[in-house]
Amino acid sequence: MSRTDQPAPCGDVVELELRCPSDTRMLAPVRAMATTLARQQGFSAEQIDQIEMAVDEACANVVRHAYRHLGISPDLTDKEKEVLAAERASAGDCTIGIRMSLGEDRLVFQVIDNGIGIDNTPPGVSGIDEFVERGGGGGLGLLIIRNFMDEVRYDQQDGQGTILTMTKYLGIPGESPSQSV
Amino acid sequence: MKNYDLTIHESQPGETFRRVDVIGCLDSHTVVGFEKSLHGLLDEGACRVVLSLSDLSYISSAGISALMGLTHRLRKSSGELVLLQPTDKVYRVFRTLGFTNIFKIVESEAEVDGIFSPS
Repeated sequence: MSRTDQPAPCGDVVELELRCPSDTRMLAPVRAMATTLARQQGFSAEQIDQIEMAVDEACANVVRHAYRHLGISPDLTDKEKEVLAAERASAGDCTIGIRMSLGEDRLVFQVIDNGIGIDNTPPGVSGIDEFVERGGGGGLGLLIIRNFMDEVRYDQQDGQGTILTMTKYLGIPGESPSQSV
Repeated sequence: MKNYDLTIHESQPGETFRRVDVIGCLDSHTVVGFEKSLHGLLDEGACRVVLSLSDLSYISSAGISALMGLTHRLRKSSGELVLLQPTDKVYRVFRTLGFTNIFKIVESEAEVDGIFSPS
């Protein structure tokens, strides 16, 4: 995983950017980074859980859907995924970019891929009832992202993948600040 | 805590269920092995399964989907999946998403015995 820290020109916003292979093994370290930032920002334990899950789901969706056209899918063996992911990542064409902006009152995550685009990925489930009725399956991740983050926006890059922007605000009523840092 | 581990226990004398301890994270990476192990157990004929979640530190939609699939499969064969002692964090996720009324969640071994004891 590569990392570049880019301090913002003004003093009250900090931006960090990560780029890693589109591989499920990257999910745990990405979650650790997201929860560390959320904790430092003073989000409550419940909000930290929600941020962790939303970022995880966003990255997992990239792994699952964005690069299927290149032959990398979760159905491959670990060894096959490892070889393909290394090839694609070294070529710079099969990665997950995670841009994190820490504002005074918010945390913004952008999950960036250069895959097939959100229009070519399956829609999420409409609600839990649909998910339960069909006995699981995919689509719950998008519902989680929409429900757990305060603002969610998808921007399709013209033939060059998708940018998912997720914002969580501090100070939502009914939440108490996290005690652990 | 380990990133992921799973232990399938043999039934103890008098037990009518199989107990499985799930440790660490159940996410898109680890769920593949989890599903393979659990569906293998069901293929062997287990129809009452208790998943001990007291050491499960994280669950994603992939993990929830796996639990839903197992629940669905077991209930179709008059079996049951019981989730024992989920961590506060995992329980919060279930509660927030509305799964506490869908999964059979219990807080004690005694409750497990109550569910599976012959009536």
